[in-house]
Amino acid sequence: MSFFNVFKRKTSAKAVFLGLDGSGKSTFLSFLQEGKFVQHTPTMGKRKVEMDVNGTRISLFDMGGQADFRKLWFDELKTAKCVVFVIDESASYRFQEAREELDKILPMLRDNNINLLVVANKHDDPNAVDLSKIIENFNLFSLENVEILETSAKTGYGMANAFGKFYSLLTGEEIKKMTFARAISLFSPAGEPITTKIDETRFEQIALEGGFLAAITQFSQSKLEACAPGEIQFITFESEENGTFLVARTKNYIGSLLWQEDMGVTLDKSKEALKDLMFHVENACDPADTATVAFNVEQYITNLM
Amino acid sequence: MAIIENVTMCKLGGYEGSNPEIWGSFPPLEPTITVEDQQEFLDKSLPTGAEPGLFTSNRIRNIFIVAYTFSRKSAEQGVRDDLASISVIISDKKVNIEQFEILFKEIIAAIGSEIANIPEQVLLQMMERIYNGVNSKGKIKIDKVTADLSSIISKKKIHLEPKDPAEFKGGF
Repeated sequence: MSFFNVFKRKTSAKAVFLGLDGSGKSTFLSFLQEGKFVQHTPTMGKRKVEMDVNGTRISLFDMGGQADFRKLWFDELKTAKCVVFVIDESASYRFQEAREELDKILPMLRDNNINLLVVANKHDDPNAVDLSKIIENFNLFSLENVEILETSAKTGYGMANAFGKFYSLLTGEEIKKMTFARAISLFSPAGEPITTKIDETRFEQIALEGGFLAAITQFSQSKLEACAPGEIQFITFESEENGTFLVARTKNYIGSLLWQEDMGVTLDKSKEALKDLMFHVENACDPADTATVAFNVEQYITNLM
Repeated sequence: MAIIENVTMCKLGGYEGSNPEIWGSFPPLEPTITVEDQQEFLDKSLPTGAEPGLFTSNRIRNIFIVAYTFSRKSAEQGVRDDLASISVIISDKKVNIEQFEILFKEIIAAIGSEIANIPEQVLLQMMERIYNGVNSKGKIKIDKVTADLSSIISKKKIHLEPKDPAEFKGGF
């Protein structure tokens, strides 16, 4: 996954993912591992996945959320450093049930100094409630040592931020969120703009939208051939004034990204990030539904800028 | 003499509020598996950590449970797929277990990925067809697929006869 670096392993840590059935635990974990939305069947009891991050081997226990499996949670908590409690932000009719399960594990977290990250997932859903409602319904004001975040493991919204928080709670180390782009745009293969996001502290939107990006995209359309599913092609443009523009084409989209040297990431990393974004959109969206495509891109971009 | 005692399907539904359950069985599970043992049977037919594509082989006392886990498309829009398993109960006094596992994999392969899309009613009929098909070493017809067991057994050189007790070390 392009968000995070992998180095030689030095230490290990264990985290446990809990929450009601259907809250999105498995999907959340898959997104951390693969950088894309993966639909899962229900988790049968529990499953374990491992990741290496910054020299730490992280063991992640994805616990089934069905009522029959909740008795298994306590055994895994005994040796956990961090718990991620996932809530379906769009299922307010289940908040009471979820709260009761959270309340059952809180004494153990307190007694064993286990850190807690509450993730309000499915932020992309039209029925998702405001984060303030989650805090109120789950009485999170009264808890110490808890972090609360909103995510969508479907669109990628907030996922990089969530991982940074989770890693910090698990290891005590900060992981710096990287900036991969100063501007990102997505177009249809015919050159119709779908969405653009710009670092507004640096540029005037009009100057970029009305000028450079459109011109580059038009030129790129003629140079980049149609792609088969799973294929991607790149062109690079250097601009003395603005930086390096990466333009990529996949089956259904043309994407462009502006890289500048002072972002602190290499051009190759930004290229990888653009590729991840475009394959995520290819995988998750119907290209005919440009409103949903734009929404998904805007959510995913929160990880890149 | 029947090769297999029973075919059962178990399920963990993709819908909210589901729990693992025994979905159907042919013939009825009792008396082969008593009511007291049915939870253990369920745990071994759809074991912890099971994911689609997994073959497992477990034991309750003197019987073996050979199972295959698969996903099943939900009939409802927006509901995730079910996790399901098909399991067969066999006795090592009647069948060579390792050879039966090979046959079972061939049966599943013959049904193919269509198992995810087979309608519920057909899926439940499948148990009886597998039971009769295996025990007669004949044909199993499920939806649009036919598995010819005598042909599979012959091609793959599968020998289902139980192991000779004299083969065991220390036999007398």
